Amino acid sequence: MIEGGGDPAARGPTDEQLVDAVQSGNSQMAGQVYDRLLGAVDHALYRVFGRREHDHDDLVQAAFEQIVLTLSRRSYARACSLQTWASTIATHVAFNALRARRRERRVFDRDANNVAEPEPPASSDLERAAGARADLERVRWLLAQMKPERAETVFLHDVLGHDLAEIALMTRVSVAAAQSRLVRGRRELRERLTKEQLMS
Amino acid sequence: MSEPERLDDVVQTLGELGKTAVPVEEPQRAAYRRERIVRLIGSSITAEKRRSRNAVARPWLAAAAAVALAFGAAGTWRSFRAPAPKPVAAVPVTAVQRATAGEARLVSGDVSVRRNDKTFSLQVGEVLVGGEVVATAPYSVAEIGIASGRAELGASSELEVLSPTAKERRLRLRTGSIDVDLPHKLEAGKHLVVETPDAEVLVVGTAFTVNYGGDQGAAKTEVHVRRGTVWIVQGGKQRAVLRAGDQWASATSPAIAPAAPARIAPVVVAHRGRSGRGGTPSRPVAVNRATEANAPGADSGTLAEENRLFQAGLTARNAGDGAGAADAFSGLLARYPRSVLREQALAEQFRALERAGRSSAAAVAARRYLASYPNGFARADAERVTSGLLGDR
Repeated sequence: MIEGGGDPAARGPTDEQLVDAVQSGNSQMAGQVYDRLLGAVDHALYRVFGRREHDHDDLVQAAFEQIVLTLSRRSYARACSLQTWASTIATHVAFNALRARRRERRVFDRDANNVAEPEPPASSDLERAAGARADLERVRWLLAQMKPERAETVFLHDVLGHDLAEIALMTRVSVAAAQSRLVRGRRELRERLTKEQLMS
Repeated sequence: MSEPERLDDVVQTLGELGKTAVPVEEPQRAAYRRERIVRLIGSSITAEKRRSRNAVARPWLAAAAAVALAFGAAGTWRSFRAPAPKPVAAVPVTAVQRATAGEARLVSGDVSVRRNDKTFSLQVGEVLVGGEVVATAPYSVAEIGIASGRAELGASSELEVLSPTAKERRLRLRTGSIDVDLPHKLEAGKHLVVETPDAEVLVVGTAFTVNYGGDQGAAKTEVHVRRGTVWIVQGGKQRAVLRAGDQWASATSPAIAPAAPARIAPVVVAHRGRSGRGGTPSRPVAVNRATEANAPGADSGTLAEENRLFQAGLTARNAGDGAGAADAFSGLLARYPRSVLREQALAEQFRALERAGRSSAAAVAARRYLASYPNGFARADAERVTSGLLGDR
């Protein structure tokens, strides 16, 4: 296989080299680790919250702390790409934060108020777009209410597009267990959506 | 709708979440966060390495501790048999195992520290245990590591570092400016307090700047928060809660002279974008950054001075005076942190420090350059300086 991408030096170190550097205590690679993984972390956080929240930087930091810890302590089995690993950890950090906020009943009360606010007169396209945004907000809210392992499996599979075998490796369960979480998670989400529609 | 169709709808909605476009971040904010997190990743990697080394050494330490314990037990047995000693005053454990209040990480220019009535130059690596007063001369800065973060004392400033307690670390800014960055949130119940003569700034985990100074015998405290949240306390009462982007200023009051300045006379630091605000607030006011930036004359009149400082740096550099050049560029950056010449000054600063043989300070300055200008014109040079230092370790 001929690999593209130009000069290998310009591409920077491989995932393997980065992981080896972290495990050998080479702090010189900190910048490379950040640059390699920021995209995955940032996108995962953005997709869980639907925006960059006021504490976005703190969440990015928390995700990187977890990433470095798992790499240093050899919890990363190198069975998936480093970006995939980072997005899994960021998703976990984001859902934890989302659940904490739900408990505090701040964000979603505010969001619920936003959804309930009367909309200005708009064309049917704008109304449809606003409706779609409200649907996405509702799905995020409901995911945060679900069991963490189910919500994260559904998110990793249906939102971030990871396949079941990868999710099984990353969450340290069998493929059958991952599939069960996915099926149950989707069903639970659908039930919650139906229940909410009936109540509104 | 049949069940499979409804499930498909759920999957389709989730797919929409995955297609959400992620907007590009503001470059300045991204660069600032990069600097902070890269530093954190570096220290985490080092800490984990140390932890794993200690884990290897632990069995040997345990054996040594067991031997020491055996000797200790024998000593205790002998002391029971000996006559009772005279009672002595109990020594508090904290006095023996006192936590450090901070350590000097970067010293640029003329920075002094006064401890137990003795004044000496602050050196990188100097550990502050509390009770010291750190003073910076004009065009000088000092970076002090505190808790999990750092405090950068601006030019012509004076800071008293108080002894830390289990619940609190306290810095007393007598004059000048201090920029604090705590990447980690402190544990519950713990605070860092930056105190000025007329206000206290309570910190949990954030980044902000405090200035204390003024003109013609009047002074006030100004606080600018970049990240997180801080509380302003006056007279023991909470006056304001500031979030990222907020600014606050206390009412102008007669300047409270710093007690016994260490080496320098208190010099008022004129900060760009602040000096032009008209009028004197009768009570503490939260100031909108945009409003302040648009105030007439906010930025006027500084460019000539910035050019003069920059030119002084270049002249010193061309004369082969690396230390003098570094001081001039540091002074420019300390006085005008948002200068239009900032990128050039940062680049010249780390180059001058390197030429002066101050490789550690040069690497810190080079890292600062890279954090602010990851694709700047001096990137290659800055990377060489930072990697050179790490390679030496």
